[in-house]
Amino acid sequence: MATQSNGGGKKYDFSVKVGLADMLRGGVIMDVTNAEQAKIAEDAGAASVMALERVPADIRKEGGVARMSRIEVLEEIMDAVQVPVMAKIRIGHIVEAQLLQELGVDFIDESEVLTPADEANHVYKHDFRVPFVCGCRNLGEALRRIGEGAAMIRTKGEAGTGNVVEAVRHMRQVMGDMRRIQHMDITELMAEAKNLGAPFELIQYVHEHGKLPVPNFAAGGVATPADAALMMQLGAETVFVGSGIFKAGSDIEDVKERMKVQGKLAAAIVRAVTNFNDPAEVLAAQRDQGAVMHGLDIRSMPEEEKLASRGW
Amino acid sequence: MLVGVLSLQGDFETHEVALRDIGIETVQIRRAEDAGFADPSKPLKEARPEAIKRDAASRPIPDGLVLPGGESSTIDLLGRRYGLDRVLAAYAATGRTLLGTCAGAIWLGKGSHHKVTPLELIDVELERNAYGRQIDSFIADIEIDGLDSPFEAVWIRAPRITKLGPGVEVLAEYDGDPVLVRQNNIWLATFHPERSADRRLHQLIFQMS
Repeated sequence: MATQSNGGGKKYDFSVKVGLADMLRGGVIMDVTNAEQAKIAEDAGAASVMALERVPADIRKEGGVARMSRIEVLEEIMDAVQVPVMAKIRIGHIVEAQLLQELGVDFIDESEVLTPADEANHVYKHDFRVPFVCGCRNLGEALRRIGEGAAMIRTKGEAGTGNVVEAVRHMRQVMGDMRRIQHMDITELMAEAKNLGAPFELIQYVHEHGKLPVPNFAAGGVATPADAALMMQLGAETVFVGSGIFKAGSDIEDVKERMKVQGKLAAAIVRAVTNFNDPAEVLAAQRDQGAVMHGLDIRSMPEEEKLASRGW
Repeated sequence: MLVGVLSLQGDFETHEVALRDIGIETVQIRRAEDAGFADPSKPLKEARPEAIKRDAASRPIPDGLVLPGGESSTIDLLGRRYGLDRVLAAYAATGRTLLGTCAGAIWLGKGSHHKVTPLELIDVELERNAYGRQIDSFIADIEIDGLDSPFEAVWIRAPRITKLGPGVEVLAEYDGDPVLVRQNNIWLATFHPERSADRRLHQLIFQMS
């Protein structure tokens, strides 16, 4: 199984993984596919960047098997910025995870956006020193991933659509499930663990604390500053922006001009997340957004094209 | 006692929990106004220290401030946008206690960093991400001057203190490096005291000094 041969053997436990997730609260994590985009994200105030080979909107369009990023691209991104670098692996791909840990990536996203490597099992994440984030559509899925060792949870939403509706659905589902469990009689908790397919101890934790034992972030379809602020108001502790930034302004031919527009949108989303409860600031951010990506209507999308149903 | 916690980005809520555990009230600071600072648009020299006064809303003025961990480039960008650089300078000049942890220490101190311009309010140079990447984060026991038994400290993508000016007191070291230092009313920790269940360091800083 996975190695623990790093960090010079110094003491390290699950709390140090959750620690890094907590450091990202109130920040924005932006999908990037190369060093240039990573720099634009960092300049705009991103708290972290997520490296991947193609943004979800392109994966959706081009099809084929989506895998972890090429190593040399990851290295370029890690050299280009000082903020933590996350990278995606396919669900259940233990070796992609081992390689990213060996490389020194700061956080791994075991992601439904890539083509799953294992349709039955996710990676056993407690085996790794590097922390993991995983997607969920509801509380049961969130707690199963935490049971396997995820140090951060995000909603799945529907990546690459620029449509926030699924992220909203998933966040409301998770928050609503937690409120319900918090008010349950203790006698009802085991039945609830059975219903949700979630570890009993984690159901107990939610009953006692009314929240997850790890940070709960939003992802999947966030395209505008207002979308980002909406997810924060619904209870997200920070926001991932995938295709939203670097698919914006894709009709602008001049590369420099396009990058400027994307940087502006990135900064506007950071501003909206920091001030999510202040409509005057979110308004200023929204006014500043420039171009945004074209969105897809999820209702007219065939079931097999939906990424959120990957993983369980 | 009321302590303001810079809440632009990062681990601010955990600091609030730690402070409330020892009976200190907290307020989240995102704007100069949150810190009772009337006019952040004025130049720095005019802004301190007499500019700390109650604003129109008569918000209470914190007795001290905490700068949490997070990403220093994000905190620097947002902090300057909302005039918090001036607020911190004014608080430092009026002798209020300031505690910077990890990214907060980088912002309060000195040093030449990628995308961060430190405030240089304390004569301590730091190097960002000096211990490596997340897999190099760690936990270790340290002896702290003023505490009678070891303190379990957590370092997360931590900075290292590389140079100390005269008048800076070293209160704890790890592996030969200073990790907790103080110059008058300003304290820096390269680790995260808020992440230990142990509240003695917050007590030492805000209730015993």
